Amino acid sequence: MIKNLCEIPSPAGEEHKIKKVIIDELKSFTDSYYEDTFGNLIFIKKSNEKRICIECGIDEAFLTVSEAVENNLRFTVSGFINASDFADKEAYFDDKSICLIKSDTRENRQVEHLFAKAETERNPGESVTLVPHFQEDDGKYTAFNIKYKAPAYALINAIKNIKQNTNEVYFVFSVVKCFANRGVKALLQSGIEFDKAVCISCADDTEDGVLIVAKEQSAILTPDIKEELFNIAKKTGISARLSLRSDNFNMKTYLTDGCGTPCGLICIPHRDNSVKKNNIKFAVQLISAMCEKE
Amino acid sequence: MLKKITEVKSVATREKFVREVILDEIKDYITSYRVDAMGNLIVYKKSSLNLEEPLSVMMVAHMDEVGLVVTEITDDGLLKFDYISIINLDAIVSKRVKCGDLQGVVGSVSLAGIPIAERCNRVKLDDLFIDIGAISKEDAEQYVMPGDVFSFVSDYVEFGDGFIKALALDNRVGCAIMMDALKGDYNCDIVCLFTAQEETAMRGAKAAAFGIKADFALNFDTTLANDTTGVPSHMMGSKIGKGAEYTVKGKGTVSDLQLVDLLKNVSEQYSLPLQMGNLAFSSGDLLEIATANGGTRNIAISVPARYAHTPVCVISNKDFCVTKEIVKMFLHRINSDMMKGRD
Repeated sequence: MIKNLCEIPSPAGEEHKIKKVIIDELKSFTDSYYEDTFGNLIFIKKSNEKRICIECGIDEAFLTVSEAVENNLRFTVSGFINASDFADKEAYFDDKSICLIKSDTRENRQVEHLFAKAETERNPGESVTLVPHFQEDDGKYTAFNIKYKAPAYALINAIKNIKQNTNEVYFVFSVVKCFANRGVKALLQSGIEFDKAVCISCADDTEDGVLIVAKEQSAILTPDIKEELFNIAKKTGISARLSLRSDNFNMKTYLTDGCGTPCGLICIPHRDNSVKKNNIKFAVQLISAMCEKE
Repeated sequence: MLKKITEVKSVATREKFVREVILDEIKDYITSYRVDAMGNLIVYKKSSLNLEEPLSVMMVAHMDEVGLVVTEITDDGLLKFDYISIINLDAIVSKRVKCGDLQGVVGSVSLAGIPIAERCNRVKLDDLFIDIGAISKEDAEQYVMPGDVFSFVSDYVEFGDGFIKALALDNRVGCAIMMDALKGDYNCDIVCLFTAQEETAMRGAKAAAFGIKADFALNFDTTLANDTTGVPSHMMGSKIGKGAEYTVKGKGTVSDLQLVDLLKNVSEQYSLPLQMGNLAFSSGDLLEIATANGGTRNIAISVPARYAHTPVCVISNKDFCVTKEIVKMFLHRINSDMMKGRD
């Protein structure tokens, strides 16, 4: 399944194909599901207890064609993308037509330095994502977009593992996360209220175990959620440790949008485009245990 | 109309002047209006058909303009200031400014005595001040206090090959597009949001968006036309004279692809030139509108402008007229088929 997820392009705003796959995987494991106005895909496991949200993004880094002259392409970008992530790599369009992304310069690369030659006629406005070149060995999964797809893979498996949830759980596969978490922003501004939320993401790290993020930019992990996550990890023998991050907006959106929601952030470590299978397993166990906790 | 509304000075937080002009122009064409606590002007126009549940379209354009806010009066009667929104400081030195009837000029410390090699990149905010001709602090305090805002003085001028130079084309152009559209009749309900304080991080739109739910949102603004000498074509943003501009993905916004297709369709059907902006710039108020109330399907339609956020913003009259037409034809084409989903 993770290979399939990696090989479905999902640039921000164009997540429809990956949503279909997720629906097929999960519709028989939850009580209901729906897609909100913004495009977030939400599965619900019902209960009369508190309402919690467990969320991950399903979009990935992409480039938008800004100019196409005789199949010579230039690009622009509108999310938090590192141009060096794309330089000298293969990227493909929605129809899987491939182009090699090159750069005018080797230093201080910006997206405006990137260019490519397309095989077929393309138009401004089209998006390209990295060809993942997925590989699997005994210990890990490797793909150029693994950090965007591993959280969804973990959440899907966690949902399938849950035997009996205590609280009502909204499993949110959010869209347009690359643009400062806008899918979650829209969800929270729709008026829906949660007692707490836990977000799943990836973080650049080499060590084993799930990361429980204590501080992300200006957002600080709510103490009781921190305690809860560590207690669950300890009880179930899951390897987990505290971490600080400065590169994203996951928690801040929950804390400041809508009516404000206490939240936590679990990260699966990744390095060199690889994620260890064990770390995904720990994340799956932690999420499932969180939903089943009394 | 564009001349009339660009000549009204309404810096962010002082929108009441332009609001009055807008209301006066549109009052005979609307069902009702209200002004909210932030100063947003919210205008309603019912569908011309007697449908039980017509589609609703929200149109958004900000009324305010960039300006300068007085922060301190020096002992010699000069006014230190800060800028409202992003302003190119190089472009405002020696420009005339006005606060109500009070005239002034933006001055800077003299470059005399500074080595020529160091004169480049000398424009710093700390070196600038507004000179109102006061001879002392006490003299200046009779006319102005910290917190007062100044706007630039710049006449509406038509020049060259159908070009217009005026103050506050960003975003009186967007307002003018909406005002023109309101004079027509459509099958959908229209809510027009003339927002306040966009130049201070979209404060008006953020507040207004909570009270309004529509099926679609159209945002109108100027957009960067960096189409001058020495700029590579893929860095130009959009080009003056090439028609209305639309965005597929801006900084933080994603246009609804069905709306993009409809816009292209209208452009082709009525031979109205349309271009896609090739730099992903912020879509201003749309950043707040797009996610409010659970999200609204949206698109940004803009008029290319050179030298925005300076006293000499320039657009092409042809682009402006084309954009007005495209918007009206677009509104006529919105129907219930649009609600069948975006896939």
